[in-house]
Amino acid sequence: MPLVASLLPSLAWLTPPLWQALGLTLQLAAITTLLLGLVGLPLAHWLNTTRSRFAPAFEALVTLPIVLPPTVIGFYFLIAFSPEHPPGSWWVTLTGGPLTFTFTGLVLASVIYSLPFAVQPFQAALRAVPGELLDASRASGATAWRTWWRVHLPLARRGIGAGLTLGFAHTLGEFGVVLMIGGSIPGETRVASIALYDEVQKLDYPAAHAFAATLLVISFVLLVIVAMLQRRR
Amino acid sequence: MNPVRRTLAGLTLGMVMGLPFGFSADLTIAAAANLSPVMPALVAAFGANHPDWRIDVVPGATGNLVAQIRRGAPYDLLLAADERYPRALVTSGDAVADSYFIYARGRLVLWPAPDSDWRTALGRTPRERIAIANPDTAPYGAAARAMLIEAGVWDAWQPRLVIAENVAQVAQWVNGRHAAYGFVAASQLLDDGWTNRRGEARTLPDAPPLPQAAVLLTRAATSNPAQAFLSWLSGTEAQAIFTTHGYDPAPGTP
Repeated sequence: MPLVASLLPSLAWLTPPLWQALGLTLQLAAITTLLLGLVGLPLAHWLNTTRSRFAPAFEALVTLPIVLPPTVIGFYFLIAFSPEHPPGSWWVTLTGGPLTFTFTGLVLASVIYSLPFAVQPFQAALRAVPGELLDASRASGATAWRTWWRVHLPLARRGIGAGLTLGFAHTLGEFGVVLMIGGSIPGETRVASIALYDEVQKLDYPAAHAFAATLLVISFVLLVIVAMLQRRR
Repeated sequence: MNPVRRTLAGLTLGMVMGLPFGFSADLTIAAAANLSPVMPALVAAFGANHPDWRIDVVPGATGNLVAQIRRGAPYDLLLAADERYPRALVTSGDAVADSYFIYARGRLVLWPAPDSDWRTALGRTPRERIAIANPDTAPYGAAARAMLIEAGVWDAWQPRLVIAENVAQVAQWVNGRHAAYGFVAASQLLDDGWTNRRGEARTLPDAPPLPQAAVLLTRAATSNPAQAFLSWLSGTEAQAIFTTHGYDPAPGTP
């Protein structure tokens, strides 16, 4: 692939700290995506099927992170993590230090930040499975759980895959939130977007170019995967 | 053209034509983050004599502002947090050489003040997070780093240091107790609210002094408001405002 090959020489500009930042970002995205699947799929199913009259409000809550400026999300997380009052104070009692400036804090923030990017494709995918198939499964004697696990999810797997990939890709680009609560600690919270920003601020443009190009290629490949998954057979 | 299209065209044209009037100020000042508490007082005092001039202030870490200026940001003056950045702008031709002067001197402080000397209290391996502004872009962060290197604790403190975008964010983190201590500018802590909650700051005689310089940017070389502001800044009224806001006066001020 000539495009990738032409980028290889510029990889020489990537120093160990930048590779570390890239690794940290991939780690953060992977763990966040796992949680998005675990939390997002039941949430999506509930939003699809609930008859609660507050459903629109809950849908709006889930969609908020798409609309809110990331610095607003980061700001509220900063307040939430503050050791002076719950919930931040609960964490301090548990672990001795605040959630701010920790990888765990970033994971929590990333799950919220990327939630709608996963949940909305999940909802669409789950909704697209014909209800008759689910009814048939229940009528054949399968429990609700078996229907969910053996019928509903497998039939929706392409859209679910798209949602997970989108959640992953979105977390790769997280910046504003991390800027507010991260503290730029190498190996803990200094993710790729922050490291890139630092290189630009230090006017180290060759490193910034190499890093940005790497992130661009990764993001592009992920989005191609999403597009392929979302196409009809 | 049908009426809807005509209306839309008219609106678009109106917005485009309105742009220069909506966004242009008579004077745009790029000011280092540590000046955020004192800028309103300065602008108000200067503006009292020039009521028809609109003055905008853009805050940020000095390094960030300089990067923006080099890329053509529409500022007229830079009030930096050090001398190095303004000098660099003069060298690169982005600032007018003989406009350079030191308008105030800042003090680095540790906030909140620890119970004893900071070296004893925090030691070689502090248990809590300590916040500094990014040393590569914020002069107060660079001063903190220089002091810590001099004291021999810079490397030992790495696992506990958190880097903020600028001194304003350091103060925000300390105020919210996310970091137990932070290196900030003395001028940021004159607001009683913060010192009431977190206590006083500790002055650091070992910290390098922070002469803060201002320059007129080349793009505003003929700007009347810009030149007026700069010459006012070295005068007694402005210097008095700096002193009441926690700065040492510029050298040579009576």
